[in-house]
Amino acid sequence: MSRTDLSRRHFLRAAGTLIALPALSSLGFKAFAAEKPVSQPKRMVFLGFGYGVTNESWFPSLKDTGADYALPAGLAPLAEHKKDFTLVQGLSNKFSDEAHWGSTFWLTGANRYAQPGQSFHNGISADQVAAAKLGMDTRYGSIRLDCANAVDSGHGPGSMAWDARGKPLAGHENPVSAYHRLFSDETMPLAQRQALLAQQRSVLDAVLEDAARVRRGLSRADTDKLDEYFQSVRDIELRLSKDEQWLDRPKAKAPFPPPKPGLAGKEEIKVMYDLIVAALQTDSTRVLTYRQPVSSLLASLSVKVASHDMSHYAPGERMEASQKRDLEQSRLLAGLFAKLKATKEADGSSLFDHTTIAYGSNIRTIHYLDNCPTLIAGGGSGIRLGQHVALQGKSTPLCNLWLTLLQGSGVKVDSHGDSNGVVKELTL
Amino acid sequence: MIRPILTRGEGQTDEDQARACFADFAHRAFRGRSAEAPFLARLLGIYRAGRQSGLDHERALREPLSVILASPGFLYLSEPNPGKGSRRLDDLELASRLSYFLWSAPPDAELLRLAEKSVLHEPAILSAQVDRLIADPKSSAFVTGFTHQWLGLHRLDFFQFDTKLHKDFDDSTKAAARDEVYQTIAHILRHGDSLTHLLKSDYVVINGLLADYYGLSEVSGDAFRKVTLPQDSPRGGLLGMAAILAMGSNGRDTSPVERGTWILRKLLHEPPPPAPPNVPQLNRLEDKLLSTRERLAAHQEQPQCAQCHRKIDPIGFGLENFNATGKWRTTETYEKKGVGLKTWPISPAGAFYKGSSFKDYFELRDQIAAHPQKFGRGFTEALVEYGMGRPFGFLDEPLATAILTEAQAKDYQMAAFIRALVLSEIFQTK
Repeated sequence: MSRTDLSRRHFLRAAGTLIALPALSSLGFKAFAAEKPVSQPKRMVFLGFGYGVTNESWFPSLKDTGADYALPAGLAPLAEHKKDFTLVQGLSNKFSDEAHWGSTFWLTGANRYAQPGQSFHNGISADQVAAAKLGMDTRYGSIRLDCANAVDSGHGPGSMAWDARGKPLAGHENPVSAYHRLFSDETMPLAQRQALLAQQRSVLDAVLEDAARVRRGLSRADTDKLDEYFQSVRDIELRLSKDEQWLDRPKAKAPFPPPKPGLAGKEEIKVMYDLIVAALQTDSTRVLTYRQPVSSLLASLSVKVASHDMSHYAPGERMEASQKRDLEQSRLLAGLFAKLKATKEADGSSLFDHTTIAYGSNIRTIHYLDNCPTLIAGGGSGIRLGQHVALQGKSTPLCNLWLTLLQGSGVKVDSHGDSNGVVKELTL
Repeated sequence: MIRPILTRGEGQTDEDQARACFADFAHRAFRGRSAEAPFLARLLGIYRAGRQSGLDHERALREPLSVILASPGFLYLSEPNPGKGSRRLDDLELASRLSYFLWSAPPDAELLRLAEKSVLHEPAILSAQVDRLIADPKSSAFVTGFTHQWLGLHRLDFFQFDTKLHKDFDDSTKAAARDEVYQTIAHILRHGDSLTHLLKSDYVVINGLLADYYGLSEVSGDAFRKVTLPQDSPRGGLLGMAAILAMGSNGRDTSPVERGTWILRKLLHEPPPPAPPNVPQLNRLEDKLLSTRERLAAHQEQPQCAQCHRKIDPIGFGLENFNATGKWRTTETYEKKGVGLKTWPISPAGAFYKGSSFKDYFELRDQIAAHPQKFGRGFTEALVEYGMGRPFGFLDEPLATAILTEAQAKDYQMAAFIRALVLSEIFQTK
């Protein structure tokens, strides 16, 4: 065995995981966009529901396309908004092979095994691509909403949102924490917050000093590994810059009082939807993701079947549970649409007119990963609404849709994930 | 290795003490390497800023100390290798590699002392250190970390067990059942026993709760201990453990496919390929009441399915005397809402594909236990992966063969595998 062969596999083993710098989260800043834009800004909202839907009653017939399609029972509560959303069939992520991961690769389309020798790899998610552009002028580049025990709801590991290095971005697991993040002001005086920021910068300077020592003499593979550390430091620097930019500006006024703690299931989703509207209305952010609870939703509907069992439905009790879930989710979504339509912008148009809402999952139904359920609403990306589009074949990359929506929202990208073009059927 | 962070020398000022404290703590956090002057100067700067903002001495020390723990020197095990080709680890690096392998923790004072004297790599000393680390309670980090990955124990948490059907397999029993796997391996490791005890043995390592569960008497209390089994017991070895059997189920019914696959992968080192995607659902069986064997016969209808299932399923049938949570049974009942209920006697007889046949579980177990070298090979490869922190590659084949040969000479003693790996050139090479 030659020694040079072995050297290729040299590597640096990380004893810890991510950089654990002192908390940076509780700094105070303010709310409104840096400058009033001339036209209304574009917004994007990604809602994922983990375990898919009931195949038999959620999808319209593939033969019944166009504008006059019959709305299936599972989407019935959305009837009044029918001309404002489009259903797309035939999209999927070709690399996905995990039947319980509804959100992990939903917005990335990444190949889990793209890196030899690693059992997990991911790429940037569509929301973070959007945030890099749409989030420049707002206090928060993006806001991630989440639920407790997301794995039990079929979302899979990590997050829905993944940064440019394919690392998961954590979200707020309950409405109270999201509310305070968006609307509660810091109690710390300005001078003290400024001193704190300065100290955080000196912390970065110190760790970079030690990083220079560690970097000396590393092989190339190890240097790549250490680059993850440097990237983490750069991310924190960016965050600090943003913090400084917003340091002396108060947060937006909340349009309603803080939610009650302990909300679960149906009520929890409803309040999270209200927070989404409030975050957009106050222009605190323009990009949001939400991993909706399924497990606690079932409990709040008095369904006794556990979420994973429900996802494996067969005619009978489990299928009824699955359909109840579809209906309630559609009802909640209809409520969100109504609120977005009722919220007016300065020029008299509605928030709904400038927002793209993507609602779906990487899982179609049971354990199937083809034809991902996909509903797109809102006027943010200028796609054709009120349609049922059945794409030819089953192999159109889901990332083609994300690319279409990103481009439509003014984010200049040529590709996303495994995309090989835009979905022409959706563009006017 | 626990020493106070703060000690004050004669006539030292606050700053002198802070400087000494940072250097000493960084040396420990960096596992025997020293921090450099510019880094320490930055830490002192943060300390001073803290004092200026009104913090007292001890509070001002906290932030710089936490910075040390956020630095790459602490977060990464670094083994620099600027030249082409590979090089021997130095003794400090070897100390870290060894202690993270067996303790998942930094080297202790003794390892660092031997490393600083540059004698740790000497085979006699290194071998004695391996034994010392194994004997230390901290090696339970190795037992749990390695076993979990090697045997794929994550599957135990993959589904909820139906407590209506399996009343006594509640969370406490599940936790004890999982612990039985760890405790048995810890027992074998620390008592110099043979790996082959995991294939078949005349004892179990259990606590009072599991003794009740297995119907064994005269064990009480939460502590795990070695208990000798009656002659006719199906327990003793991995195949008789509730945790292993429960992983081969869906929380409700047994899955002969999962069990057969697990045995081929983990015990016989003949892993079948993963299931292909988009396997169609067999709807035509929906309104029929069939026994497990009858239902699984559908696997053999399509040639592309039969190719693997004819190897997998018969092994799984041999374990059908254990229900979904590892309890012994002689009949099975299956109920389908609106269709009816069916009970049938378990028939565990079967045969290995193109191999020997067995009439029941006991014969199946004996035949698996007759191949310790296959089991040992799988164990060795998993050990190399865990110890080196990377996938097993074909270039590691000679190493695995060498380790196995050495362990075979010691009757498959588990500790012998570990010693052989640590003393190997690959383990000590960057």
